Amino acid sequence: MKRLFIPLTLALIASPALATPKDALVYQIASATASVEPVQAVVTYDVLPVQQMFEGLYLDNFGKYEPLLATSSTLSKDGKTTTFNLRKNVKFHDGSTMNCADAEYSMRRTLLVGSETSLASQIRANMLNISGFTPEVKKTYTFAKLSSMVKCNAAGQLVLTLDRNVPSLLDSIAQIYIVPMKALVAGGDWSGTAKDFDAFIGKDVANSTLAQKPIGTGAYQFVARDPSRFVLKGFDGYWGGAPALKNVILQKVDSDTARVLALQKGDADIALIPDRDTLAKLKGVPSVKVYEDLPTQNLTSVLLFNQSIKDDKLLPAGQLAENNIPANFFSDIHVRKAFAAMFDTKTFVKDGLQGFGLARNTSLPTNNWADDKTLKPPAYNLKTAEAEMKLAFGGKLWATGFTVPLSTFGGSGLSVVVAGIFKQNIEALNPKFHASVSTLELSAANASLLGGKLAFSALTWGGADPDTNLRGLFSATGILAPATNIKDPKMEQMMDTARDTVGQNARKPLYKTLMTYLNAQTYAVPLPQPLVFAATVSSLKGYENFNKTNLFKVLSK
Amino acid sequence: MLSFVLRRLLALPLILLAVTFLIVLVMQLIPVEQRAVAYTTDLAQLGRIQEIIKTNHLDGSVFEQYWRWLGQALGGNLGYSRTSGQPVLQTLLARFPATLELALFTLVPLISLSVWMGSKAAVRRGRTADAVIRVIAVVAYSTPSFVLGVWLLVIFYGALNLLPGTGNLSNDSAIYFLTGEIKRVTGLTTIDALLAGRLDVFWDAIKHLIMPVFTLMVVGSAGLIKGTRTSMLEALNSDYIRTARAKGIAEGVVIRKHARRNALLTIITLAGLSVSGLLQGAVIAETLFGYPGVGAWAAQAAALGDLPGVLGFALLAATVVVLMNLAIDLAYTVIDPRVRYA
Repeated sequence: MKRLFIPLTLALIASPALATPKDALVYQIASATASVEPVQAVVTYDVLPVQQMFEGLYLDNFGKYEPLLATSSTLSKDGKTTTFNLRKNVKFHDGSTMNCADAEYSMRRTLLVGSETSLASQIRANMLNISGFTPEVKKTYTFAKLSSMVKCNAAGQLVLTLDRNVPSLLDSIAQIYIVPMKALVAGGDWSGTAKDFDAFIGKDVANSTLAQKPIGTGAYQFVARDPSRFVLKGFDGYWGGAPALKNVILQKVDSDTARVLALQKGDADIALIPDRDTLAKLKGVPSVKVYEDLPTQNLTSVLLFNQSIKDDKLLPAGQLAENNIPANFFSDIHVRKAFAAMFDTKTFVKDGLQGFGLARNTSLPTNNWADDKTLKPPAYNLKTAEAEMKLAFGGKLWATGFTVPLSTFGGSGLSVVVAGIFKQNIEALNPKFHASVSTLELSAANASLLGGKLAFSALTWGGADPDTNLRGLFSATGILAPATNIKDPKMEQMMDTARDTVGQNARKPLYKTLMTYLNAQTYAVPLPQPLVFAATVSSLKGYENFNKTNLFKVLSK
Repeated sequence: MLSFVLRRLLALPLILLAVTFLIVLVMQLIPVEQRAVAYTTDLAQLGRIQEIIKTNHLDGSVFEQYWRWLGQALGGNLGYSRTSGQPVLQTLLARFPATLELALFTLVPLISLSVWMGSKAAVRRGRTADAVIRVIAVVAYSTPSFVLGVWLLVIFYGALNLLPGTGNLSNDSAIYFLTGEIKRVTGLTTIDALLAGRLDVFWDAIKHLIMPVFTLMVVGSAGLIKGTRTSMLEALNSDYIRTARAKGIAEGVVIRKHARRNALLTIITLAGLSVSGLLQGAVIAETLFGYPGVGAWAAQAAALGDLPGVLGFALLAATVVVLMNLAIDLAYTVIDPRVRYA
């Protein structure tokens, strides 16, 4: 309803735009920054200020890892030990100089504190294979273990020694932010010793001293905040040179209309635009620059089939009926192939993404180094779908028919488009084929997904390394295992081999083989990747680069 | 009288217990996994649902969960709000002054204008003024506040550029508070700006108040206008008014001293309810105009399943309602000497 007013707003605007100062950036967002504790922050508008104030040893520059507070690193032959050479003359916002002890403390702290929903928890899962600090884990996770894992050597290098080769290590390293040890300890944080190790293990530090008064090495330093603003200023002592925009205000504005108005009037330099319809209306407004097709980073959208649906209303495995499906419906490869062939990607891009979707070849993000544009995923073809359906369940499915439950998620237009495409094509294929569509509220949908109750689900997944992505999606040990129930030892073996091989060049062909196999098994259908849209004032430069790095320091006017 | 006030104040904790327990109870209708999902922010965290359930004790009985929260609350810890990234108490303290300021600036014009319009309509019953006021009340009653708010934004901010868009201060003025150049003394932006001698900031704050105040006034006025009109009509048709008129007392005096005073009991009840209603209205007005009060925070907390945040807001809202009702009861004794509380 509110969005109906936006076109009217655009029509009514007549007054000239009054720009924000040339050295300032006002970025209007839809939800406020909560905690900027770097080990906790995972939500977009918590992460955004964190990335401006804090830096890691490496930077994820759109899938390419570049040294940041490290100048280089070396990896041992077995892939277990990484040695980082640290950048010299790096200052913290409090004026102190970064040294190896700070890097050591920061890495140890990240591997120690943070609740189960924190960034630190994700980092621990990736680096240490710890899914949580259970009593069993706590028994062996000691200060001695942590300090032998992360330590400075006599040459002032930081040495990280893990139990195994972690292919996505740099992804985690890029998210371990370096903080000043002395300031934190003085503020009552972990002492960095065994003394209070137990008190800080897995501790939720969202309200830490660091969250209240952030001190990092980033191009921007914290000034102040109130319930709707987070204010930063350029750090004069920044090792990479002071940023062009001296002052930044992240301002929470709930109303879509108000944000769009502010952008047009020059009260905001960047404003979160609610949808492409609004974006289209902004095209041609002289003071506004519109971006329609920016790339996404480390994100992949897939349609996953559940091979063992945990829903009592379904038929037992192997039984068929026109008004239902068996719990193991998607364990039959012909059913999966038929469904993949029924998914009309062109309609999905047109109706769901308003024409702005990137074709996909694999289930990996399009910016991932292992993505391979030569691979051919299942394609839309109703004749193939018919042929596969006739083979399914030994040919019985075509004669018996089925009714498949399709779920749409409240608030997600894409899930409605997906369900619509399937319903239309399923029912056109055979009069005994049916689809029943129901709507689930989003948290209920996520709980159902986790409980393995959904027949199949379209979701967005992320991760910088191919192992993180593919294991999460397909492995029996992955997070989404309850939602897919894939049991494929051959695939697991291929996945483990690709993970344990050291070096991108050696791993790349292994992933090509793995993804060829995945496409053939049709455990999932890669969905066209939605492109990012945005709008800024026309005087703002560098937004394309900002979209890739998330760093305000690349922006100027 | 004192014992009446004490009794009412003693009932406050019981009401707060009932309200908060009901909220926790209603939350149990949602399956535990679904409640735990509300703690997550991306799919990768779904793998930690069991941990989330254990850490937050979501699998305990409703009594266990309530007792745990109550134990904390009695110790002065209302929990941590994921929505604000701060402890609930700190969030309430930081945001309540903005809501209070909004309410204070709304109340005076809301009550005085509504009572005046309701009285005018009753006195001019059946005439043009009555018809116009009744139409205004109906329009105010039937206009959704978010529609009105968006229209105000579009016209006065977007097209005419007369008023600022959102928030309680422009960024330039806000910096004075954020950097401590203007001290937070009362928490009320307008008053603190005046105390600092900053008329420019005061005026900026006033301009930011106009649209949300007007929206809240429109939302709250309809019931009060209609209630005042009905109550006044009843009073104007009573025997003592006829007697007063027969005695030759001037019509203005009859209306002010006799009719309106007798109608005040109903008017005060309605005005009190309007104050309580302002908290609900603030949820919409603050969200729409980006006003940094408790209403906008509560709306977000409810949407994100931030239970400590919702409970904190419920405590505040229930306290305001109870205290408002007490104030109304006490006002009765001032207006009508026949009313006595033992």
